[in-house]
Amino acid sequence: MVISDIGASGGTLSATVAWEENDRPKQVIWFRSSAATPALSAEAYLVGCAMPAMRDKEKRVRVEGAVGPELLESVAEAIAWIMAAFSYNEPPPVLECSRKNQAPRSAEGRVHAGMLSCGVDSLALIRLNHARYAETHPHRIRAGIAVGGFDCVTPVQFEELLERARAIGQSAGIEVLDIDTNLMEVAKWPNPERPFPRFSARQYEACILAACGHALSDHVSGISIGSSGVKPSVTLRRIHGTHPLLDPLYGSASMRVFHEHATVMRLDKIRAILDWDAAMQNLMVCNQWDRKELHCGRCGKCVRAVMEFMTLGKLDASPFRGRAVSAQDILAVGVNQRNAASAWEDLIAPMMALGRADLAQAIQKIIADYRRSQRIEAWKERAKNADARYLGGMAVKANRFARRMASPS
Amino acid sequence: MVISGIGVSGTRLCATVAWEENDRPKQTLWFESNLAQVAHSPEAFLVGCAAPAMRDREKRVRVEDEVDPELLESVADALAYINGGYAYGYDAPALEASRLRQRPPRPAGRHAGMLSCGVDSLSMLRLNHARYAETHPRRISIGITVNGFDCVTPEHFETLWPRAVDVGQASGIEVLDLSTNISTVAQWPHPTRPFGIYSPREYEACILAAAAHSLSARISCISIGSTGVGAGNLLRRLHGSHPALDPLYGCSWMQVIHANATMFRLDKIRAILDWDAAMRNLMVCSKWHRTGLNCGLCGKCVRTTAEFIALGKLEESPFRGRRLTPAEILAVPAVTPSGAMAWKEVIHPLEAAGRSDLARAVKALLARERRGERIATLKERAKQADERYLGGISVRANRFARRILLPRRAES
Repeated sequence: MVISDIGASGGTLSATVAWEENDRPKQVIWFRSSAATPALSAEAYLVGCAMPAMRDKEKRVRVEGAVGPELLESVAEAIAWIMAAFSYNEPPPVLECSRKNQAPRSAEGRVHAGMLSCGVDSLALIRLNHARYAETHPHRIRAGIAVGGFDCVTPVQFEELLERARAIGQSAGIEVLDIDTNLMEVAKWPNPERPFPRFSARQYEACILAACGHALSDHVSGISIGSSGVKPSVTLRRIHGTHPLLDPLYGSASMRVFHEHATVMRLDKIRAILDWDAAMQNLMVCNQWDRKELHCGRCGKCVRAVMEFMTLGKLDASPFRGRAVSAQDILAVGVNQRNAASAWEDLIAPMMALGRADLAQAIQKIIADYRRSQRIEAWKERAKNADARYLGGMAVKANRFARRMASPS
Repeated sequence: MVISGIGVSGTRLCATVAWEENDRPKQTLWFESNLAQVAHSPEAFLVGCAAPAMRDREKRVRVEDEVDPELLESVADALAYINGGYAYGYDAPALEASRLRQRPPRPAGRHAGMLSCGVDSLSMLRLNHARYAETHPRRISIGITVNGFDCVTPEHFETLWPRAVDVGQASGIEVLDLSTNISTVAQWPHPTRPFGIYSPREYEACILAAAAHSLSARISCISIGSTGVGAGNLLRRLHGSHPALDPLYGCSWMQVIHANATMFRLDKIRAILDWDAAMRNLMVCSKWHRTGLNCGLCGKCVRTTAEFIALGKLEESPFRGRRLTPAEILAVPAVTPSGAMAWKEVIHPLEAAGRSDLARAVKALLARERRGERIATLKERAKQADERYLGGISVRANRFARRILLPRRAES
């Protein structure tokens, strides 16, 4: 992959991405902001494109621009973590640049920013940050960055986010910076027409946010990403697209990246914003890309949020006022991730305490189903390994053949 | 735990530590340097004492001075990880300070590397200088040698110091000494043991980061060389110095970097092979009761000898003239998971170097370790099943039988 023609004009930063090992057309990738002029940042492209390049087996990522040597080193490390965690076996791409930035800029004249999606994590990030850091501290969040083209895919969704982010910004006394990008296009293969591309959040999430931070690095010296609030033991065992181990690696000496509140649980985060009216009025929990209203009310995140507000006795003060959850809703949602299982698990005891044993039992059931499916997956994996080791993969081939014969198509 | 009386007098930064939940005498902890002015750093004591306080169930760690809020937050994160990683099963202490440092000092601007003269620290220095120009703030321009950690006795430090100075001269960096008794805070229940039971599995980087905080008048960033066991192994296990933990012991004006985390040990040795000063001064052995530079007998010395043989550079190494036999490899006692990873990595290079006998011995050693691990896992599962279905009766019966039978066997 070669990233060239990096240039900034007006409110747009753009570059051309050419694939070398994949038969794909060249892509023009851009970042746009109306609130701040994007910086001429080659680093934004390295951070945003390295993971898709690795996934799609490119042999190198060459950036025709100036990149800090510390970023070349740390992104290579992030790739190594992702490869180990998700069992990629191909050699990683070599990261190259045409010039090394051996004199990074100081933080003076720039501000520390928080990523502002108006979800629980980002609102708690601002609230807890302002409670801890005085105006004089450089780590106090002074700007919120709202990203279009990531959680918010359609222009309507981005407009809605910006409106809410501005209300939050006004209330918290921070500036709100908008940034729209088509960076996710770079990972849209093999479904280039799909509105929400196959840029698995499990592996790449923070790259996009950090790339936006780099694109705004004339204005911001560092960004904080709110953690998703799962148990520390789970966090360290499982790498996720945004993770305390990974996120700082996407930062450079000129623009640092922080993964914040990694050990604060979600219920505690909600508790932190309960008495903040602006947060309650502008909270956006649901991130279904095809949603028609603010909260779809049916997805796992929405159902869980209703129960979290019930637990804290603040359902009527929340954006979910008037909503109720039944055991059927929970069973319909299910669990498909370890992080989500951990978050659901935290709700069992509070539901019992509220006298909602039906909901607690439904949660136990979906967690048990998830664990069973995980065990089955593990056994399948072991059987496949044994087959590969002792039978040369014959059983897997026979199984595939039998399925092909049995399937009418 | 209350940490008070923090102050600098002469070349020494001191504080008094009082335990609240443990019946222990007050301790005076100090950091001292002959070559650099130590800073008035309450942060050094918070970083150095928080983990032992958690291990010994203190309910809070209160620092009677000004502490950066960023550090209070990140050390709490580190404690949560250690607590989860080692299944402590009780709450971590609350971290408090009498005042918050809301106006952090301007960073001193220089980047230091921890310099123990081992493979990790020497390769870190070498790779850093290859990557960063003089103008880059990440370039290491200071090496810090810590007395009171790997080097327990004055003799140990006297061995390390001239070697560190020689390495410093060869690489054009300043070398600073830092002595501390911070590890005595965790010396319980053996207060007189020379090497405190400050398990490196859980606390290693705290001591190094605390040492760096005490030198914050001179430096604004330190790098700690990773142990080179590969990404997969680091993801499976937390360790006292770990890429997820080390940065949490730093703050905006004293960053802590865990360097070269995903690099393997053999690649690190390769990086310093052609550096004469490193080969002259390499110190591999970290046995606290060693008498010579490298004892040559411990697991680490034997493994390093095998690594130099695998790379065809034994004669240029500190182990020149040594003849390694399969029996010596098989005699290596318990191998840690990270040690096992390093041993595994050396098998193919040994075969390629025509030493299949040693490669076979390494395979046998690893097979023995795996067997041991499997037995331990089975025992653990049996215990859990006994606890769950029999209320622990089998474990109690086993203990009873041992108490009755073992003394008789010993007598006979």
